[in-house]
Amino acid sequence: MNIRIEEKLLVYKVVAKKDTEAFAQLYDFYVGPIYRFVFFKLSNREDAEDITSEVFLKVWDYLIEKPKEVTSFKQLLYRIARNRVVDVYRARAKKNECSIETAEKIAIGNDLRKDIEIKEEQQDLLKAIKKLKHEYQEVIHLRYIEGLPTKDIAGILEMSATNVRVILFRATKKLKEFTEPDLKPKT
Amino acid sequence: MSRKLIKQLRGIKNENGRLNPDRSWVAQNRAKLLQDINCSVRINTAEEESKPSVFDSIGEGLHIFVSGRALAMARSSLTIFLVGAVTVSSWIASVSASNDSLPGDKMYGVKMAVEKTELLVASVIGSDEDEVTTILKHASTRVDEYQRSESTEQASEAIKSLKEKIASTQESLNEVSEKSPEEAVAVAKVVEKRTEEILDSLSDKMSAEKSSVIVSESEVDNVQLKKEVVEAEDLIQKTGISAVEVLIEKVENEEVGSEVISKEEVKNTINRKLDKLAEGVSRLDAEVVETSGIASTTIAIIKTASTTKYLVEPMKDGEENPDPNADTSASSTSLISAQIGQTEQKVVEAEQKVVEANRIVEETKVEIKNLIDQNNLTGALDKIKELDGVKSETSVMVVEANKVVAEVQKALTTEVKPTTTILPTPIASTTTNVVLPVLNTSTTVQTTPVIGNTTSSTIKTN
Repeated sequence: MNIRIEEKLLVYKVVAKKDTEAFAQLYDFYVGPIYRFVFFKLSNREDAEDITSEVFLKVWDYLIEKPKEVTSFKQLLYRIARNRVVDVYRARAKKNECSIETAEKIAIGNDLRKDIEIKEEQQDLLKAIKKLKHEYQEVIHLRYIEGLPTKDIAGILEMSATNVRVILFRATKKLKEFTEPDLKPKT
Repeated sequence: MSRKLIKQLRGIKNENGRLNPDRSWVAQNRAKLLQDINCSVRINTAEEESKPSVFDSIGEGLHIFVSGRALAMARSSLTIFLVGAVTVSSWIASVSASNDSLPGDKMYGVKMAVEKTELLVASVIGSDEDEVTTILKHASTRVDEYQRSESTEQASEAIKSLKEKIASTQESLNEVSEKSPEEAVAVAKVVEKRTEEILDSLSDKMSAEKSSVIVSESEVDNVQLKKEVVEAEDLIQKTGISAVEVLIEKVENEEVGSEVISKEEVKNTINRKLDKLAEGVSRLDAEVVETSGIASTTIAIIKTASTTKYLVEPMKDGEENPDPNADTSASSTSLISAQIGQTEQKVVEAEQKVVEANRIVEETKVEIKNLIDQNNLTGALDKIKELDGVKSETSVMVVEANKVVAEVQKALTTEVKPTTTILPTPIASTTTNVVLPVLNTSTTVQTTPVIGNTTSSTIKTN
């Protein structure tokens, strides 16, 4: 609760006084999660860094130009990051003359094998996550890796909280099937 | 999902270096980001000349701390509240405006509606004590209206409403007496105290400054009003005595503890009632002396005028010459003579009654003291009731005397067309004007009472 209030105060300083130092504190807090979010989708460090920089610049402009439309700084960050990632997919799809979904799979598949140095156990887990549908991956990432509440996830994905819970349930069920195939499903 | 799996997922960001940004990149990016936004801030500041106002800052900050839905709800709630506030404030304004209204005024209806609402709320939500307190509060308002009344109609209306309120109080007192003793005592205390206050307020009007006025056609109305006031007083006094009766009953039957009401308190109340009654009789004494004086003066003038030439105004064109030998003058003289006789009789009777009342007061004081010393509170109250009866009868006789005196004065002024001289001859406390016919220059009248044996009095004429 205190973190939320502190965050709101920082946002207020940015909006009301164009306080760059306050914005820098927000950057320090959110650069890691946004980078992870973007990197998880693109699986490319350079792209993730570029996109992350752009996201924070865009958010600053948004706070200055349309402050009254900002209800949650966190949700705004993730939404902008998500939209920016989609733009990258579109660009790649156009370049490779394939669908966005294909572009996603290509990016993830290649980079995952080469760039990610992880323990074997977690490697299996990540592979399992990557097998899931795109929206399932998002909710799993935001809920369990970043630890966001359902309400924030709903705001980021622009859907209802009920919808998020349903998707999350299905995603976890599917992931469990991938990670624990020995367990028989309940009838 | 299994806990192991969740733990693994949560551990990904902490254990996998590649998933997290490079620290040097973070620092470099931070610096670059600040540089870029500082540039944009300087550019924007140069373009903007005015600083945002406090309200703008608050407005910008509000949506950050409060969600949009909450703001929308707050906005609609505020609108409803403001509409309600305007409605209530206009109602309060009209109620406030009606507070000083008198019977017959436009806002008087609002005042009555407010009182009805107050009474309804008190009866539904409050206790019996609250209800009776509200009724008596309204009764006090009637007395205030009577005191501020500008016509006999308004005053009469106020007194009529006052009587209704007192009757209502008596009913409530009767009802609550059958309920719990504590409630009955609480209500009785309120009734006893407030009726006394109302009586004091009412008598303030009666002892208002006396002034010289012209006898008007409503003089008889004024006396009629006086009669209504006396009746109201009587009713209030009886209600107060009923309340004392309730207190005595509860104390003597030991239905309540001394912490609720003690015998000493009841004795003090009885003594207070006695003092008030004695005071009332004294007032009647003073009043009857005054009435007697007025009557003497009036009668003396009449008698003297019958042997004096009237100064008659020159007749205007078209008026018929009066026939001094006409039967009308003789009949009018005999009529006045009859009235004089009746007046004298009434005034004498009133004076005698007051004397009797004074005697009874002195006797009763001694008797009540003895009864109280013997702890015979019921007996003491019976004596109070007797004395109250005597006072009521005396009041009625004094009012009757006033009435006949007023009628004689009125008859006198309608018979003669005098050049007028105003003499100080008030009747009781009603502000009426008296005009008496001017006598010839050789005649003077001293305003001293001639009727009755309470004081030695003569009328002297030159």
